[in-house]
Amino acid sequence: MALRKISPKKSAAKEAHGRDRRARAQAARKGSALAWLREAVEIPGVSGHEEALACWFAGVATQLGAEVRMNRLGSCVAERRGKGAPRGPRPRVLISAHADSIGLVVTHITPGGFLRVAPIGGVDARILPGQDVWVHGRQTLPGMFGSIPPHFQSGGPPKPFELDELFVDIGLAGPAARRAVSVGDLVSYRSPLTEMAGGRVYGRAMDNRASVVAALLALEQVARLNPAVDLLVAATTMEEVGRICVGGMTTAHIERPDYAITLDVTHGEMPGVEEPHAYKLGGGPALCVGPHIHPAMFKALVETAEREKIPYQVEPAPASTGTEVGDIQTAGEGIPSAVVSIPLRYMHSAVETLCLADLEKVARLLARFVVRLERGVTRGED
Amino acid sequence: MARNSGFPWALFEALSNARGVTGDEGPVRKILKDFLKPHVDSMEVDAMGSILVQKKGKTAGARILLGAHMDEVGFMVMKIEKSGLFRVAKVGGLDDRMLAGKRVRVGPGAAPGVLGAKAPHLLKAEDKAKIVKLEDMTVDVGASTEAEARKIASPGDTATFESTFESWGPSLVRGKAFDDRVGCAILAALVAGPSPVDFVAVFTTQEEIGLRGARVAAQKFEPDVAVALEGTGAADTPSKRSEALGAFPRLGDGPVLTRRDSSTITDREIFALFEEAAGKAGIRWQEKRPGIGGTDAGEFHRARSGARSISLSVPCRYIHSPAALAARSDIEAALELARAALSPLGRVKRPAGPRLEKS
Repeated sequence: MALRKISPKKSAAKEAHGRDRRARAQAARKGSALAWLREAVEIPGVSGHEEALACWFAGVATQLGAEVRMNRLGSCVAERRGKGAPRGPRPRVLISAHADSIGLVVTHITPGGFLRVAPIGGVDARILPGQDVWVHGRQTLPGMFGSIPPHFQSGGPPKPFELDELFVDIGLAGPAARRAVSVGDLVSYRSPLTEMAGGRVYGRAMDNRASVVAALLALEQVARLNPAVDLLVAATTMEEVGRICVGGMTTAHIERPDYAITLDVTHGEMPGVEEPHAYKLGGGPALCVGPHIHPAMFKALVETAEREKIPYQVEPAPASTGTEVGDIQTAGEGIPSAVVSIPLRYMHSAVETLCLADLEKVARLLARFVVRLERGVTRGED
Repeated sequence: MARNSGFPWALFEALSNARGVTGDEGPVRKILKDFLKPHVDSMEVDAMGSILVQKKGKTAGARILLGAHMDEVGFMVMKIEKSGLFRVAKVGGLDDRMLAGKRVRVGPGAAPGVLGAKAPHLLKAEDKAKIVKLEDMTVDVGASTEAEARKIASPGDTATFESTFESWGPSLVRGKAFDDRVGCAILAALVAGPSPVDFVAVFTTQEEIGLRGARVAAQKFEPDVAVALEGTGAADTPSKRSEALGAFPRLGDGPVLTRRDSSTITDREIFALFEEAAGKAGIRWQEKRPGIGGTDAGEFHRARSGARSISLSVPCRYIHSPAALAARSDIEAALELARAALSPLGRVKRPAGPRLEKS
């Protein structure tokens, strides 16, 4: 996890040669939300194992002209200095998006070669039977969660399967399975990003690669607008595990921004999931309001959205917002913070669904908000 | 180790990828008809949509009927919500517990969609102890209005699981609808190759909702002896039930012969005939766990005055789910065993009536 081990320049050079690099640079210039999203969700990036994703993020951010650095717990920060003297003074604004995603880890290999697994993050066991996965063993292998056909089930009323009844089948017998996979290897969902009708897409790990991509799109726009703001865009780690969001917390501590905006996904409306807990796909960014959010930040976000005619939705959060903002807000001497969310259906499944247009709207709002922060925000009470 | 039975792998792949939910078997039928055409003198499609082929062999013998069903389990669109989401119902036997979060293809244009379920964050404690029923799920194709959704599918259209055929290492294959496209591919191979005896091949419809195509096909031909070629569930995965009852059939242990399932009690002489044919050809075979599942043999054996019937199957893990897993060697061996049984099947005597002398 040390910086030298994941030097973004080195990895970018390794990955991209010749035509590839040119194509990549072109894609980067175009700032294609879909192309970036497709690349970002393909990288497993299970919590605690975000290196490859950090390298990808660093590569794109570098091409957008930012300076990148990696911190000790794996979060990657891209900095773009604003206009004016090299050292400021300018407001430092952090846009953070957690880069990790939920997944599973192999805990046992049965004599028959089936894998028993444990969750990393909030895995929903209800979606696992019949679910396709990648098993990141010696090589990455396709696998699937076995399901018991109705024909073989014992009598009595069926109950939901518990994770410890389930297993991953990689089609290898015991000895071969043990050569290919070890206890501790990671498992991620297998579900290629797929375009649907209505400009929507589904895939795995949209929570929270969609936000990582939106943050990069915002960085690209801020580079064009060139405000007198030092912008820090962070792909943070380990948000999905534990009560404390370790990556966001440490990044805020190291970077000490003047203002922070956390990007995450929120629940999209669907039958059984209605307001006040759900937001419209395609309805634009959801803006959190509540104790974890600095009221002046929220107000300035709303004003920016209205001035720029960007549709938005208000997401009341009476306590935790379910994002890492709580641990950013309370870093150091306290940081005025806000949360901007992308509505997403079927969270923590392998078919998380969102509307691409929301990514663009979020990016535009953020870029304009960063410009707005040139003037800073205050409570307006004093 | 690898046998070379001439099994048509490319055909099997195309059949597995094709979409053919019960009652909507058209795409599968088309692939089979195109494959069979150069190999048969005549072919007909009956009122149920089954393909019927009369294969000429070297000799005529007993009236043999070989069948495999074209349909697969899946979904039917029941209603379009104002939100552009589809309500769907099961077609065939599906366990609610493996539906949430699965990828599907919807309607005649195979639009990509998902079977969405509520995020775990939003569940109340009592919800977690409950199974999410299909009736509480919706299929999301990205449409946000009823009109947009209607362009993709209408009530009555079908949806399938989304899975693409693939090889898992050198010995396994994995894909959708192995139950019973594997039987269809075996039967197509039998039709395409030389046969020692005449037989009738029927590629049936509507097996998954009650063996309905098979009934009509068998009634038409009134066979003396009938064989259902199937993809059957393998039970070699970890479960309490397998520990108690034995973990068979197993992938890689050869084709499966059924003594009894919920649809048929296999004729003992026919079972012995297959046993002997396997022995002579050096084909390892295995027993099906008795009593489980049913096949088209159920209708074959009671059609008109009755036929002596058996099911010959390929063991497949995870049938009736988004994708199944099968061993190449089992598929090749099932085709070989079917082929080896043809001559002896031609010699089966038509019983004059109930074998009263034995009772």
